[in-house]
Amino acid sequence: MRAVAALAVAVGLIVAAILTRDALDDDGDSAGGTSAGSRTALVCAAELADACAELEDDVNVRVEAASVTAERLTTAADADEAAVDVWLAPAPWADLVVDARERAGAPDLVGEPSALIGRSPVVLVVWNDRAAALEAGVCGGPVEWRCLGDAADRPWDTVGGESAWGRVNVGLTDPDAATGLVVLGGAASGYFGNADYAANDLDGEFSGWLGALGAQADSATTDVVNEMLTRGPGRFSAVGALEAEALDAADRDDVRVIYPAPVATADLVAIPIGGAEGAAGDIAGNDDLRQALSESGWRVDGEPLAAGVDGGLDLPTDDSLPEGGVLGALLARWNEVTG
Amino acid sequence: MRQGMRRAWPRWVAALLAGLIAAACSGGDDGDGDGEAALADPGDCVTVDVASSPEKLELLGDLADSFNDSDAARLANDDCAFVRVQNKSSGAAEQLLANGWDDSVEGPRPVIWSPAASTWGQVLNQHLSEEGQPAMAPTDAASFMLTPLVIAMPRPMAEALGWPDTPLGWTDVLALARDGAGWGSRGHPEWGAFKLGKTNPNFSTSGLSALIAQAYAATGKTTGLSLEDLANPAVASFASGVESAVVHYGDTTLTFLNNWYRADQRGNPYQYVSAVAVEEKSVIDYNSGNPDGILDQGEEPREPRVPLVAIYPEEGTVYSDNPLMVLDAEWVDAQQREAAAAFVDYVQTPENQERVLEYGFRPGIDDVPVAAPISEANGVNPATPQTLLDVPRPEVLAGLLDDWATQRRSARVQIVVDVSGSMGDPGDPETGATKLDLAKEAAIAALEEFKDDDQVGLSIFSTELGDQGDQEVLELVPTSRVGDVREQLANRIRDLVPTNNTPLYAVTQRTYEEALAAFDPARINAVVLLSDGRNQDDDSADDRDQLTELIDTLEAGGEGQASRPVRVFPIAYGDDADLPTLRQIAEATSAAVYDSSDPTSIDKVFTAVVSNF
Repeated sequence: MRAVAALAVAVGLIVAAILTRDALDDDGDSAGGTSAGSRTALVCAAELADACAELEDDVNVRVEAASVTAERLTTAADADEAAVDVWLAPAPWADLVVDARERAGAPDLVGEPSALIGRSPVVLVVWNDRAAALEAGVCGGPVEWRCLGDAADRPWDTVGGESAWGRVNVGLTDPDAATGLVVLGGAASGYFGNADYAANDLDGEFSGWLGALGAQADSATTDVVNEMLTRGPGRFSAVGALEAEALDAADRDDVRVIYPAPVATADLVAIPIGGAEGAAGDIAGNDDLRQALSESGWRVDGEPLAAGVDGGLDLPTDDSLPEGGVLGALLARWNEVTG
Repeated sequence: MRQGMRRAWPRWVAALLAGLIAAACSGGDDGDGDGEAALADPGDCVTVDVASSPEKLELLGDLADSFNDSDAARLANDDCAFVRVQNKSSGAAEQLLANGWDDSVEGPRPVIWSPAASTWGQVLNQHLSEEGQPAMAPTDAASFMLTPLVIAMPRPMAEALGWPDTPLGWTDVLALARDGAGWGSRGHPEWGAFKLGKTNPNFSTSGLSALIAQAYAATGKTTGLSLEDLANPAVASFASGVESAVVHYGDTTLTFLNNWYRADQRGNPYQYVSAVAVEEKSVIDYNSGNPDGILDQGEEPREPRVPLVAIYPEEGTVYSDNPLMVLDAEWVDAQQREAAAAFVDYVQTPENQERVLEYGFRPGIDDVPVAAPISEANGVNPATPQTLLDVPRPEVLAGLLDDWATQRRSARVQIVVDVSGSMGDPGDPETGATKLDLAKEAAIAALEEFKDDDQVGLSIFSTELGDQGDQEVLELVPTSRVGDVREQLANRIRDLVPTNNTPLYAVTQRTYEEALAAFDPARINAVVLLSDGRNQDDDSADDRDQLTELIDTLEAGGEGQASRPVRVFPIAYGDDADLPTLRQIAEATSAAVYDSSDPTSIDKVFTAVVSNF
């Protein structure tokens, strides 16, 4: 009899725990699970780990490189196999996976991304003297992606600088990283002058330009801005990164933060997997997440701008990036030329 | 070259690319389009393995999937059929079937073989006959889908010849080839000499079909081509005359179509080549802005500035009929025959036949009418061809190929081999052979593919070569008639050893300029450049300028009416080869780059390269 009573108490406790969990999940400030009693599995791109930590009370957070998530979502048969409900990453990654699955004839898995959570434009950080030399030399005006790539990997004295500076070494955030793909797309948009290019345009001349731009790229460097600022111009003459990754540079008077045209942006969204639109919407609207992103340099509607974010810059309405398939082809070309 | 920074592509990108590369080979029956995708598990069903040429792989695979799930796959005695399709280009499959199909290497031996055309079945049976073996390919196989061989031309060029009112054919091609005034005699001296693109008939279906059509045109016959016809000096002269206009050969028409399209996008589709023998389907693809027949990731179809038109030779033409041949082979049992027959019936149902139209092919059954995209708007004419040619008997086909080996345009080729230190790296872990070992073996074997009258030279490149250690390139065998130096070439290749760096740009520039200086207008002039690394010389500061100068030089050599086209065919050898740069070098000379990133594939790659000559 005592055993039966104990069992009843145990069942009651379990039911109570489930009900409590559901109540918490239904709270407006939490990210709800995709099924009753389960916690949402959120995968965060590695660069967003700190902001995602704010959600750990409400969802199961896993942090990993965007390319790893993309691989899983490209090859998974369904959401269960992917073990992801929501993916927090810049929007082009969703396009990339959708395109790859379509081409593979795989069924739909990736849903419509949430409303925009935050944005961060692509910037160039250039040492002041190097920027001046480029402007007076090969660029013949403001430093833009095209002329920077033209100068890249050349001796400085051939492009307007001093021979003592060595070569024009350009660093880029690793394109396999969530934000790096956006930087790469922004660089290519800079080369073509707009985002209206296709894989057909990635010809030999472009490959040569891209190869030079990536000649000093190093996937082992996870923070190119920090690497540049701590090691000096001998390491990188200029780097391409997101504004949110370059806040430290804005404070310094020996480097310049440039917003090359067209201004490409990383548009951060919550990407639902396997029908988890509700959970994605909850995450996108999570105040803690939005605040954390804002504090880390992302431009989030309704949140103050962090120090170092240029409040005078109006971002374009679109992200100035090509569609996902083109970004996929661009990434493949990048890996090819940087070998 | 940056050491130690090489990074593998993310696996998901690599997997995607592998799929795309395989798909990219599906625009025609390409020599190297064979894939080794994992085959599905048939369970307890009767397995029907299909070896399909690449252009229909996707469609046939889809149909196999739907067949396997359908009632049509139910056999007698409650058995079921399970069809699996693997990719095998026609020429490669023919050789495997003739010489012994090693299923541990090449995948399962096929129950159904579907080459691009029935002619391959004839070639197979002839080869088997020569070895005293019984025929394997049935001569009455059902056709899956059809596309005729045509002569593709830029519309203005065709119009200059009187198209569409004047019937045109191989006789007109011959007249143009022999006309010293070239297009000048047709009112267009700015187009220069008449230049023909034709693939190697040993590898390519369209090349084989063109060879048959040429021979029939020379005889005036449409049926019964005989060995006696081939022995007729007038027929041989006709063949040699047509071949004299060929810019290069190769294993796939995609090389021509891609180069042509690139030239079109630069605003001049008239200089690279005037006409190419291709399948009708390729004209449709080209005019839709998709010259290789498949949209790569992120690619956007862009119509050419100057469309092509399909000329259906007035002397007659042949269809690529994509037969579904249930092989008379010892490994095919009665159950598999029954299962194979069920699949053949299934793909010939009208609803499945309508799907071939989506791919630019004509249905293989008359219940389904020819319809869009086979229309005049796409440069093709659904009411033609008016005259069809009989496929010659097997021994005549063999005779045609034998004759072609001597009648084809001669070549002048400089082989330049990278002997940098990295060529000493392991190439085949199983045998311990170095990359250079494998390349030497492949190069020596490829020498056999040249005809005696070809002229071939051999050079090596690295740094610190020569007695004084101050040379970057050494000529080991001066360019000479292959028939006189084949053994010498082989011996010098055997002696190669790895040395120092990779002065790729300087050596390519120098070799190209030497080939240009020695240009022989009667021959195909080419450089075969094998390299396993990125440019690496004593001064990396000028690398970009060197490359820019090199590309400018290469492009300039092929431009203008009086151009002297020397084509550079690079082989990107091993993982560290600079494929993008080598591709740029190839494209600058309207040639093609060959990817041998897997060193153990170098023998096949070398063979494919030499198929251009």
